[in-house]
Amino acid sequence: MTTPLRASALPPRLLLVALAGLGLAVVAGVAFGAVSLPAGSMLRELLDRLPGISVDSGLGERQAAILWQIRLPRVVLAGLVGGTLAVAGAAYQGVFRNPLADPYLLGVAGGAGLGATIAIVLGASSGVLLPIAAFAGGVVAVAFTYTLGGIGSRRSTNTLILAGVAVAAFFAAVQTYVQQRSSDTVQEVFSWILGRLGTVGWSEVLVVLPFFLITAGVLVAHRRHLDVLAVGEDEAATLGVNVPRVRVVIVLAATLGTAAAVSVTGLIGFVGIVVPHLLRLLVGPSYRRLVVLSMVAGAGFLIVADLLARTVIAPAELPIGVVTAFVGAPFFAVVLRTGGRRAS
Amino acid sequence: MTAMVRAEGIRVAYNGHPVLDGIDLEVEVGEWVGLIGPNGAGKTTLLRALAGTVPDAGSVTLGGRSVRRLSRREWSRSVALVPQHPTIPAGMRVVDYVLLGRTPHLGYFATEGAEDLAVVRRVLEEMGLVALAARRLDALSGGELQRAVLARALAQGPELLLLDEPTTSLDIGRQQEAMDLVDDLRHAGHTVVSAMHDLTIAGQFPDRLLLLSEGKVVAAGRPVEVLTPQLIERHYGAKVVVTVDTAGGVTVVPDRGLPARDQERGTATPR
Repeated sequence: MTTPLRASALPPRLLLVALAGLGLAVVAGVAFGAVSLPAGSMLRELLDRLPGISVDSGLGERQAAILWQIRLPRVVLAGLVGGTLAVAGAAYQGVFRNPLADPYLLGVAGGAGLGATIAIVLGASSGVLLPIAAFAGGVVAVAFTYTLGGIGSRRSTNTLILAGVAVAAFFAAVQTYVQQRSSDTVQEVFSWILGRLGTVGWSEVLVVLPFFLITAGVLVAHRRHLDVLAVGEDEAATLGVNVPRVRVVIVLAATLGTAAAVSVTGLIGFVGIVVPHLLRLLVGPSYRRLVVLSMVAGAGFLIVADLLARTVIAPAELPIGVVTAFVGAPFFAVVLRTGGRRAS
Repeated sequence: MTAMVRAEGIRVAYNGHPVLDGIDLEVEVGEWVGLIGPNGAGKTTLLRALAGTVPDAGSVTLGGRSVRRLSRREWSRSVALVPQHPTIPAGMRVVDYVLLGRTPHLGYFATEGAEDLAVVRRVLEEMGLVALAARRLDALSGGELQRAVLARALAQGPELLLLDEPTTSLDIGRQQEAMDLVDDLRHAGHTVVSAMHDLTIAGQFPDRLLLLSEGKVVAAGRPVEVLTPQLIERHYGAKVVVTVDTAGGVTVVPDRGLPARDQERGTATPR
């Protein structure tokens, strides 16, 4: 009778393993590319930038510039976007109790796509206008979805999901129409839709970072609420949870992060579904583990996907959305089949 | 004894159609009241009104405290509801599930501490689930699952326990086990209100019964007073034979009007 009872908290060991994996992904992402950087010199160069430490990295000026101005911002942005998409996906799946929920569920993608297309058609294919237009489009689309689906009411979450489907279809239709009207920009629009990390610098990282911090902070703070919501709205209410309010807070946080991510990198599919589901098979369904681990694993996943995108057919680049789907989908299918067999 | 739960003028309507139409109810400390009535009579809705999850249902007080004055969290520390078909999260472990019952005692951003684990341990022991604490919910049998759900409710530390059809989908052995458990809880000081569809079980365990029909209380009292063939025929549209044992327990069985049955009862009438 002395077996210790323990809640499913996140064991530090698990977190350390995940962080170590992420560290490896970062090193690989920075080291490999059109110009390979020796990992040892690279680590020394990074160490050199820490306050109070001075070591000679042995990197030339050009190599150092590649490291600081090209590779590192790209890897950091891939990490932030991957982490945001994965944790947003996990949160949506928890709030809607729907395993198919993904970060683009509520029409963010359609809205951002329309915003970006309009910006590109108007001649703003680079600079800050494109992300701002995409972000605005995403937020407007989600606002429509909320109004249609009545998220604050006691109506079922399915209403909200269906409203998201309707809004996404509508925005996609408008986007296609705008695109047809000016066919000379088709390629740019498509390259945005398939996701891109190629042209980023530190400014994009600074755009995403505050949203990532808000999303991550809110979702980590609500990880226990996500577990309570697993028993359904009515039962969560009898456990003293103000379900409509908690739902709005979680959905808004996840949506905000997604919109910010989409606005700088375009649509990168599959991260928000694959990463949380793989983690569920590995560590169980508790959001106390899933929320933090999704962020770490999502970051690592997208860094590696980006590494593949720019090395597989080098010197050309694949759209990263193609890599996440091409690698993610079959891998996911295999794991689901084998994992499902083990569980039953 | 003092009234612990007092509900007055409970009215609930869905889309303009009244589901509960002015229900008054008093339950004393340590009492077990059974809610019976045909399908759609409003039993579940009355339980939800008592649980405080139906807005503006009417006045409900618990030991003098009003549901309107307390937050949902505060109310949930005193009142727990076991639904008829609880949602069982796939893959969740028993101990994590029972810990969810501590939610109303935790701050908004808090997670469970040693005190909450101690409560859960005690509840698991009471329900005989300690050995299954690390087991996944979907690996439990029907009776074990019912006890896990009850354990989650008890982890809330409630004075009032609301049970919606607690014996649905249990075999007769597990039904008896579940009812005996509830009876023990009642003797340990919990007050119990349960919706019941099995009239014989309703005739054996609760102290008092409330017969609901079309949103109104049509009969109330001890099981022998409520479970009469006349009342059951009028509100359920069923012909039944009612037997009362020496301890005051009531058995209700369908009357097929067969001569053999009549002879057993000693009331055979020549045809």
